[in-house]
Amino acid sequence: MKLTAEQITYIENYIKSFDIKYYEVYMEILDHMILSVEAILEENKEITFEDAVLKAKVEGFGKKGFRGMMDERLQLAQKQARKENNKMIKEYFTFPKIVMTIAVFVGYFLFLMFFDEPRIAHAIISTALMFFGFSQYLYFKKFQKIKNFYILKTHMLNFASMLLFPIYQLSNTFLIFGKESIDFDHILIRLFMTTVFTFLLISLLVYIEIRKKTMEELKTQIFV
Amino acid sequence: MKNSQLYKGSLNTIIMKLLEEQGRMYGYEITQKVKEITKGELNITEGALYPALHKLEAEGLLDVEVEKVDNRLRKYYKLTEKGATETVNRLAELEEFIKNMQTIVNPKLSY
Repeated sequence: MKLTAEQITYIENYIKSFDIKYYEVYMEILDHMILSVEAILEENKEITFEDAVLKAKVEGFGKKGFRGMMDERLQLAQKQARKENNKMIKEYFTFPKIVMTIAVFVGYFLFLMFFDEPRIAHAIISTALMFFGFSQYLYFKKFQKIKNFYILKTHMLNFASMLLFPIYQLSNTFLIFGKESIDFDHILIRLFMTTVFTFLLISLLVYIEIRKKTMEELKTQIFV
Repeated sequence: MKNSQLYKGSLNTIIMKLLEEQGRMYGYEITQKVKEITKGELNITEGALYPALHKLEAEGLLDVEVEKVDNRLRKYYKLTEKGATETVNRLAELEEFIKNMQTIVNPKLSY
Protein backbone atom coordinates (compact mmCIF):
# COMPACT_ATOMS: atom_id res chain seq x y z
CA MET A 1 0.00 0.00 0.00
CA LYS A 2 1.57 3.25 -1.17
CA LEU A 3 1.54 6.13 1.29
CA THR A 4 -0.04 9.46 0.40
CA ALA A 5 1.96 12.70 0.18
CA GLU A 6 0.46 13.81 3.54
CA GLN A 7 1.48 10.57 5.21
CA ILE A 8 5.03 10.92 3.86
CA THR A 9 5.15 14.49 5.18
CA TYR A 10 4.04 13.15 8.58
CA ILE A 11 6.91 10.63 8.57
CA GLU A 12 9.38 13.33 7.46
CA ASN A 13 8.33 15.58 10.36
CA TYR A 14 8.37 12.64 12.76
CA ILE A 15 12.00 11.85 11.85
CA LYS A 16 12.97 15.54 12.03
CA SER A 17 11.53 15.73 15.57
CA PHE A 18 14.42 13.50 16.71
CA ASP A 19 16.91 16.23 15.84
CA ILE A 20 18.58 14.35 13.00
CA LYS A 21 21.27 16.72 11.75
CA TYR A 22 22.73 14.94 8.74
CA TYR A 23 21.05 14.51 5.38
CA GLU A 24 22.69 11.15 4.60
CA VAL A 25 21.23 9.68 7.81
CA TYR A 26 17.84 11.32 7.27
CA MET A 27 17.37 10.09 3.70
CA GLU A 28 18.25 6.50 4.64
CA ILE A 29 15.89 6.49 7.64
CA LEU A 30 13.12 8.12 5.60
CA ASP A 31 13.24 5.52 2.82
CA HIS A 32 13.34 2.70 5.35
CA MET A 33 10.49 4.10 7.45
CA ILE A 34 8.23 4.64 4.43
CA LEU A 35 8.78 1.06 3.22
CA SER A 36 8.29 -0.36 6.75
CA VAL A 37 5.08 1.59 7.36
CA GLU A 38 3.71 0.55 3.96
CA ALA A 39 4.41 -3.11 4.82
CA ILE A 40 2.87 -2.82 8.32
CA LEU A 41 -0.31 -1.23 6.92
CA GLU A 42 -0.48 -3.94 4.26
CA GLU A 43 -0.17 -6.75 6.82
CA ASN A 44 -2.47 -5.27 9.43
CA LYS A 45 -5.55 -3.49 8.12
CA GLU A 46 -6.76 -2.67 11.65
CA ILE A 47 -3.76 -0.57 12.68
CA THR A 48 -3.87 3.22 12.36
CA PHE A 49 -1.24 5.04 10.30
CA GLU A 50 0.21 6.79 13.38
CA ASP A 51 0.56 3.47 15.24
CA ALA A 52 2.21 1.93 12.19
CA VAL A 53 4.82 4.71 12.21
CA LEU A 54 5.49 4.13 15.91
CA LYS A 55 5.70 0.36 15.41
CA ALA A 56 8.14 0.75 12.50
CA LYS A 57 10.36 2.97 14.63
CA VAL A 58 10.29 0.93 17.85
CA GLU A 59 10.60 -2.51 16.26
CA GLY A 60 13.22 -1.51 13.75
CA PHE A 61 15.45 1.04 15.41
CA GLY A 62 15.14 -0.26 18.97
CA LYS A 63 16.24 1.50 22.14
CA LYS A 64 18.91 3.65 20.51
CA GLY A 65 16.44 4.93 17.91
CA PHE A 66 17.26 7.32 15.08
CA ARG A 67 19.71 9.29 17.23
CA GLY A 68 21.67 6.12 17.88
CA MET A 69 22.03 5.59 14.16
CA MET A 70 23.11 9.21 13.65
CA ASP A 71 25.69 9.08 16.46
CA GLU A 72 27.12 5.84 15.10
CA ARG A 73 27.29 7.28 11.57
CA LEU A 74 28.97 10.47 12.82
CA GLN A 75 31.61 8.58 14.80
CA LEU A 76 32.38 6.36 11.85
CA ALA A 77 32.59 9.33 9.46
CA GLN A 78 34.96 11.19 11.81
CA LYS A 79 37.19 8.14 12.13
CA GLN A 80 37.19 7.64 8.38
CA ALA A 81 37.94 11.32 7.65
CA ARG A 82 40.86 11.31 10.10
CA LYS A 83 42.20 8.08 8.61
CA GLU A 84 41.95 9.34 5.04
CA ASN A 85 43.56 12.67 5.93
CA ASN A 86 46.49 10.96 7.68
CA LYS A 87 46.91 8.51 4.81
CA MET A 88 47.09 11.33 2.25
CA ILE A 89 49.61 13.29 4.33
CA LYS A 90 51.76 10.16 4.70
CA GLU A 91 51.81 9.81 0.90
CA TYR A 92 53.82 13.04 0.72
CA PHE A 93 56.54 11.35 2.77
CA THR A 94 56.71 8.16 0.72
CA PHE A 95 57.77 7.56 -2.88
CA PRO A 96 56.87 9.03 -5.39
CA LYS A 97 55.37 12.13 -3.72
CA ILE A 98 58.32 12.51 -1.36
CA VAL A 99 60.33 13.69 -4.39
CA MET A 100 57.97 16.67 -4.64
CA THR A 101 58.16 17.28 -0.88
CA ILE A 102 61.97 17.35 -1.00
CA ALA A 103 61.94 19.60 -4.08
CA VAL A 104 59.57 22.05 -2.33
CA PHE A 105 61.67 21.98 0.84
CA VAL A 106 64.97 22.60 -0.93
CA GLY A 107 63.42 25.09 -3.36
CA TYR A 108 61.84 27.17 -0.60
CA PHE A 109 65.00 27.11 1.49
CA LEU A 110 67.02 28.45 -1.45
CA PHE A 111 64.26 30.91 -2.33
CA LEU A 112 64.41 32.49 1.14
CA MET A 113 68.14 33.15 0.63
CA PHE A 114 67.28 35.76 -2.00
CA PHE A 115 65.69 38.00 0.63
CA ASP A 116 67.34 40.33 3.10
CA GLU A 117 64.21 40.00 5.24
CA PRO A 118 63.20 36.32 4.87
CA ARG A 119 60.72 36.80 7.73
CA ILE A 120 58.62 39.23 5.63
CA ALA A 121 58.79 37.05 2.50
CA HIS A 122 57.75 34.01 4.52
CA ALA A 123 54.87 35.89 6.19
CA ILE A 124 53.54 37.12 2.81
CA ILE A 125 53.78 33.69 1.16
CA SER A 126 52.22 31.73 4.01
CA THR A 127 49.41 34.29 4.31
CA ALA A 128 48.76 34.01 0.57
CA LEU A 129 48.53 30.23 0.97
CA MET A 130 46.08 30.66 3.83
CA PHE A 131 43.91 33.00 1.76
CA PHE A 132 43.87 30.46 -1.03
CA GLY A 133 42.90 27.75 1.48
CA PHE A 134 40.18 30.00 2.90
CA SER A 135 38.75 30.70 -0.57
CA GLN A 136 38.51 26.93 -1.10
CA TYR A 137 36.69 26.63 2.21
CA LEU A 138 34.26 29.43 1.32
CA TYR A 139 33.51 27.82 -2.05
CA PHE A 140 32.66 24.60 -0.29
CA LYS A 141 30.48 26.27 2.34
CA LYS A 142 27.55 26.44 -0.10
CA PHE A 143 27.52 22.64 -0.25
CA GLN A 144 27.26 22.29 3.52
CA LYS A 145 23.49 22.17 3.83
CA ILE A 146 20.54 20.71 1.98
CA LYS A 147 16.90 21.03 3.10
CA ASN A 148 18.10 22.37 6.48
CA PHE A 149 20.28 19.30 7.08
CA TYR A 150 24.06 19.28 7.21
CA ILE A 151 25.77 17.13 4.63
CA LEU A 152 27.92 14.74 6.61
CA LYS A 153 30.55 14.37 3.89
CA THR A 154 31.06 18.15 3.66
CA HIS A 155 31.00 18.50 7.42
CA MET A 156 33.88 16.03 7.66
CA LEU A 157 36.03 18.28 5.46
CA ASN A 158 36.82 20.24 8.62
CA PHE A 159 39.17 17.40 9.50
CA ALA A 160 41.06 17.89 6.29
CA SER A 161 41.61 21.58 7.00
CA MET A 162 42.41 21.19 10.70
CA LEU A 163 46.16 21.12 10.16
CA LEU A 164 46.25 24.35 8.13
CA PHE A 165 45.28 26.83 10.83
CA PRO A 166 47.51 25.61 13.71
CA ILE A 167 50.57 25.53 11.43
CA TYR A 168 49.83 29.03 10.17
CA GLN A 169 49.20 30.28 13.72
CA LEU A 170 52.45 28.75 14.95
CA SER A 171 54.35 30.35 12.13
CA ASN A 172 52.75 33.76 12.75
CA THR A 173 53.33 33.72 16.49
CA PHE A 174 56.96 32.90 15.87
CA LEU A 175 57.39 35.66 13.30
CA ILE A 176 55.65 38.33 15.38
CA PHE A 177 57.07 37.60 18.82
CA GLY A 178 60.54 36.75 17.62
CA LYS A 179 60.83 39.93 15.58
CA GLU A 180 63.31 41.61 17.95
CA SER A 181 65.11 38.68 19.49
CA ILE A 182 65.55 36.12 16.68
CA ASP A 183 68.18 36.19 13.97
CA PHE A 184 66.12 35.28 10.90
CA ASP A 185 69.25 34.80 8.81
CA HIS A 186 70.33 31.88 10.97
CA ILE A 187 70.24 28.58 9.10
CA LEU A 188 68.10 26.87 11.79
CA ILE A 189 65.49 29.61 11.58
CA ARG A 190 65.44 29.37 7.78
CA LEU A 191 65.01 25.60 8.14
CA PHE A 192 62.12 26.17 10.54
CA MET A 193 60.36 28.54 8.11
CA THR A 194 60.97 26.07 5.29
CA THR A 195 59.47 23.24 7.33
CA VAL A 196 56.41 25.35 8.20
CA PHE A 197 55.91 26.28 4.55
CA THR A 198 56.28 22.65 3.39
CA PHE A 199 53.70 21.41 5.92
CA LEU A 200 51.36 24.26 5.06
CA LEU A 201 51.57 23.44 1.37
CA ILE A 202 51.06 19.70 1.96
CA SER A 203 48.03 20.36 4.19
CA LEU A 204 46.57 22.61 1.51
CA LEU A 205 47.16 20.07 -1.27
CA VAL A 206 45.56 17.32 0.84
CA TYR A 207 42.60 19.58 1.56
CA ILE A 208 42.12 20.31 -2.15
CA GLU A 209 42.44 16.62 -3.01
CA ILE A 210 39.84 15.59 -0.41
CA ARG A 211 37.58 18.46 -1.47
CA LYS A 212 37.63 17.25 -5.09
CA LYS A 213 36.89 13.68 -4.05
CA THR A 214 34.06 14.81 -1.79
CA MET A 215 32.60 16.92 -4.59
CA GLU A 216 32.50 13.88 -6.90
CA GLU A 217 30.76 11.84 -4.19
CA LEU A 218 28.21 14.60 -3.56
CA LYS A 219 27.25 14.60 -7.24
CA THR A 220 26.36 10.90 -7.21
CA GLN A 221 25.14 10.47 -3.64
CA ILE A 222 23.39 13.69 -2.60
CA PHE A 223 22.57 15.95 -5.54
CA VAL A 224 21.07 13.14 -7.61
CA MET B 1 15.21 -13.92 16.09
CA LYS B 2 15.37 -16.57 18.81
CA ASN B 3 18.91 -15.89 20.03
CA SER B 4 20.39 -12.79 18.47
CA GLN B 5 23.79 -13.34 20.12
CA LEU B 6 24.35 -16.46 18.03
CA TYR B 7 23.86 -14.54 14.79
CA LYS B 8 25.57 -11.30 15.80
CA GLY B 9 29.08 -12.31 14.75
CA SER B 10 27.87 -13.45 11.34
CA LEU B 11 25.82 -10.38 10.39
CA ASN B 12 28.48 -8.88 8.12
CA THR B 13 28.99 -12.19 6.34
CA ILE B 14 25.22 -12.58 5.85
CA ILE B 15 25.02 -9.10 4.30
CA MET B 16 28.01 -9.72 2.04
CA LYS B 17 26.67 -13.11 0.93
CA LEU B 18 23.33 -11.53 -0.02
CA LEU B 19 25.01 -8.74 -1.95
CA GLU B 20 27.18 -11.28 -3.73
CA GLU B 21 24.02 -13.04 -4.92
CA GLN B 22 21.80 -10.04 -5.58
CA GLY B 23 24.32 -7.55 -6.97
CA ARG B 24 23.00 -4.51 -5.12
CA MET B 25 20.41 -4.03 -2.41
CA TYR B 26 19.02 -1.29 -0.16
CA GLY B 27 18.67 -1.58 3.62
CA TYR B 28 15.00 -2.47 3.83
CA GLU B 29 15.40 -5.02 1.03
CA ILE B 30 18.17 -6.79 2.99
CA THR B 31 16.02 -7.12 6.13
CA GLN B 32 13.13 -8.52 4.07
CA LYS B 33 15.31 -10.92 2.11
CA VAL B 34 16.82 -12.38 5.30
CA LYS B 35 13.34 -12.75 6.79
CA GLU B 36 12.13 -14.48 3.62
CA ILE B 37 15.08 -16.90 3.32
CA THR B 38 14.94 -17.91 7.00
CA LYS B 39 11.11 -18.02 6.94
CA GLY B 40 10.91 -15.37 9.63
CA GLU B 41 13.40 -17.07 11.97
CA LEU B 42 16.04 -14.40 11.57
CA ASN B 43 14.92 -10.80 11.85
CA ILE B 44 17.68 -8.24 11.36
CA THR B 45 16.74 -4.97 13.02
CA GLU B 46 17.59 -1.66 11.40
CA GLY B 47 19.50 -0.74 14.54
CA ALA B 48 21.92 -3.58 13.79
CA LEU B 49 21.81 -3.53 10.00
CA TYR B 50 22.75 0.09 9.28
CA PRO B 51 25.80 0.29 11.58
CA ALA B 52 27.03 -2.93 9.92
CA LEU B 53 26.46 -1.53 6.41
CA HIS B 54 28.16 1.76 7.26
CA LYS B 55 31.13 -0.05 8.78
CA LEU B 56 31.54 -2.25 5.71
CA GLU B 57 31.31 0.86 3.54
CA ALA B 58 33.98 2.62 5.62
CA GLU B 59 36.25 -0.42 5.30
CA GLY B 60 35.97 -0.17 1.52
CA LEU B 61 34.14 -3.49 1.21
CA LEU B 62 30.91 -1.87 0.00
CA ASP B 63 30.21 0.82 -2.51
CA VAL B 64 27.03 2.90 -2.68
CA GLU B 65 24.75 4.04 -5.48
CA VAL B 66 21.99 6.55 -4.80
CA GLU B 67 18.88 6.68 -6.96
CA LYS B 68 15.73 8.75 -6.91
CA VAL B 69 12.74 6.47 -6.30
CA ASP B 70 9.20 7.84 -5.74
CA ASN B 71 10.63 11.33 -5.34
CA ARG B 72 13.02 10.34 -2.53
CA LEU B 73 16.58 9.09 -2.46
CA ARG B 74 17.35 5.41 -2.05
CA LYS B 75 20.80 4.16 -1.13
CA TYR B 76 21.87 0.90 -2.71
CA TYR B 77 24.84 -1.08 -1.44
CA LYS B 78 27.03 -3.33 -3.56
CA LEU B 79 30.29 -5.19 -3.07
CA THR B 80 33.53 -3.60 -4.17
CA GLU B 81 36.25 -5.74 -5.72
CA LYS B 82 37.91 -5.95 -2.31
CA GLY B 83 34.51 -6.80 -0.81
CA ALA B 84 33.95 -9.66 -3.27
CA THR B 85 37.29 -11.23 -2.34
CA GLU B 86 36.60 -10.70 1.35
CA THR B 87 33.18 -12.37 0.99
CA VAL B 88 34.82 -15.57 -0.26
CA ASN B 89 37.22 -15.55 2.69
CA ARG B 90 34.52 -14.83 5.27
CA LEU B 91 32.19 -17.49 3.87
CA ALA B 92 35.00 -20.04 4.06
CA GLU B 93 35.63 -18.99 7.68
CA LEU B 94 31.92 -19.26 8.48
CA GLU B 95 31.69 -22.73 6.94
CA GLU B 96 34.68 -23.81 8.98
CA PHE B 97 33.02 -22.39 12.09
CA ILE B 98 29.76 -24.24 11.37
CA LYS B 99 31.70 -27.48 10.82
CA ASN B 100 33.51 -27.05 14.14
CA MET B 101 30.27 -26.26 15.96
CA GLN B 102 28.72 -29.33 14.40
CA THR B 103 31.60 -31.45 15.71
CA ILE B 104 31.14 -30.04 19.20
CA VAL B 105 27.35 -30.10 19.36
CA ASN B 106 26.74 -33.36 17.55
CA PRO B 107 29.96 -35.39 17.21
CA LYS B 108 28.19 -38.42 15.67
CA LEU B 109 26.99 -36.41 12.67
CA SER B 110 30.42 -35.05 11.89
CA TYR B 111 31.84 -38.49 10.97
